[in-house]
Amino acid sequence: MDMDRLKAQFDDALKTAGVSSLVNQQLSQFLDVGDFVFVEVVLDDASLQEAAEKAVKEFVDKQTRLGQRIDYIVRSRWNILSVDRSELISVGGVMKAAIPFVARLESGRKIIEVPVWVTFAARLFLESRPLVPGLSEIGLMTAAVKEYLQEQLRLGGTSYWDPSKYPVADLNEAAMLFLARYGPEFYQLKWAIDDYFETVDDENQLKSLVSRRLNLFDFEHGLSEVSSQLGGAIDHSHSTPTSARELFKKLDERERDSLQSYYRRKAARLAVKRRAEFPSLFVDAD
Amino acid sequence: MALSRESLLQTESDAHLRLARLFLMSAVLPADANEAQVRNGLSRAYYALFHFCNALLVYLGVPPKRRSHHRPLNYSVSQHVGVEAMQRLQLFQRRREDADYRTRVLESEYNGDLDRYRAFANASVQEIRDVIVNYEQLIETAKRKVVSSKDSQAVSE
Repeated sequence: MDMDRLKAQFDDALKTAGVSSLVNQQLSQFLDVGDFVFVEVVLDDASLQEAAEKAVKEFVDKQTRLGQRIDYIVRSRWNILSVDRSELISVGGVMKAAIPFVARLESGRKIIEVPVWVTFAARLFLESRPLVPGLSEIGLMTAAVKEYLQEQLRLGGTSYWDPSKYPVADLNEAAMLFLARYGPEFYQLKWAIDDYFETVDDENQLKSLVSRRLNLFDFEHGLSEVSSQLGGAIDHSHSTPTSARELFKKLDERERDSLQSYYRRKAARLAVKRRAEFPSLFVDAD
Repeated sequence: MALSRESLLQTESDAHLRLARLFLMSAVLPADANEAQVRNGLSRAYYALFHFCNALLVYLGVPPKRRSHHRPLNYSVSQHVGVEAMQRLQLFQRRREDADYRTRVLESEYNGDLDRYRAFANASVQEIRDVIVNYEQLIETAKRKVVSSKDSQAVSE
């Protein structure tokens, strides 16, 4: 069958199931791989995942009967709400020689809790190579867990991780080494961006940004705004940055690119939620 | 004696990894790299990534015809690592094409400033190193899955 027609029928199936408005168009794909079609549906709200899975399965079954092979994935985008130290000491009655944490993840209207374990080797690694200076030991491990989960949640295609179905692997030394590829300034800025988008995701805050004629898709402006979030739990006695811009200048080129793309992803995510109410805050660059 | 499927996969994946690392090493530029060296660096860096992708896809059971040329490789990366990974691969592919084919890229993009082009190439190599860290993790995970499926088959036999 003609691919355009097949895709149109697929889109109709999602629409009929009432999930199409929550399909993330940037991350979803409909690929003609040659002798079969690969479909990945990424939802911005996991509460509709079951409905989407059902619709996709029915569509695929129908096409299979017609001789068209379709491999598919239906998954959701998850956002980390919080990571905290947990009291859990065993799994299924078995004591674990690792430090327990619990992560709260959100995808649209669905919120889940995921247990995460940090091995002692990872803890030692963080002691010798902290992601940023001045954080407490628990603060460092919490931050590392958050970073690690973010990396896992970014994977797409058949390598995706569904936190509502599969447990997270223990965080070991290799996982820490992976996080340590960026320097302290990078993480300070990244976390300030996290705090900033968390703060502005509020009716009054957004109204205030509108009155100041801000465009959240403008990274240069965003960087100035992020300065207000520098500080918090991080002790700046090692270096005293006065602005996000100053920190940004200390990054190497790959860190800058990575941070800019991180900022853009955060802004795009907020746009999914708030663009309808506040269109002037999310104006695409020419 | 016939080799097991796991050994064959590992041999093929390791061969891609070896080439990927060789290319990555050769992409590192001396401080006074000339234009040809900068162009070669960008080109080799892309091919390092090309082979890292192949090293992963071997373990995922993707046949050579779906990974040994640029276009099918893009599709396979999109299928197995996601749209964003495919877009990154395409970005480095475009840089490689510019380095290999665009005769006036130094003049048109960098105003003839070799230092700027060199800095861009160094940053690009570093970006590829970051991406490769992700692939190394994925390769390890995929390899473990192949080995554990073999173990579980052995148990059930």
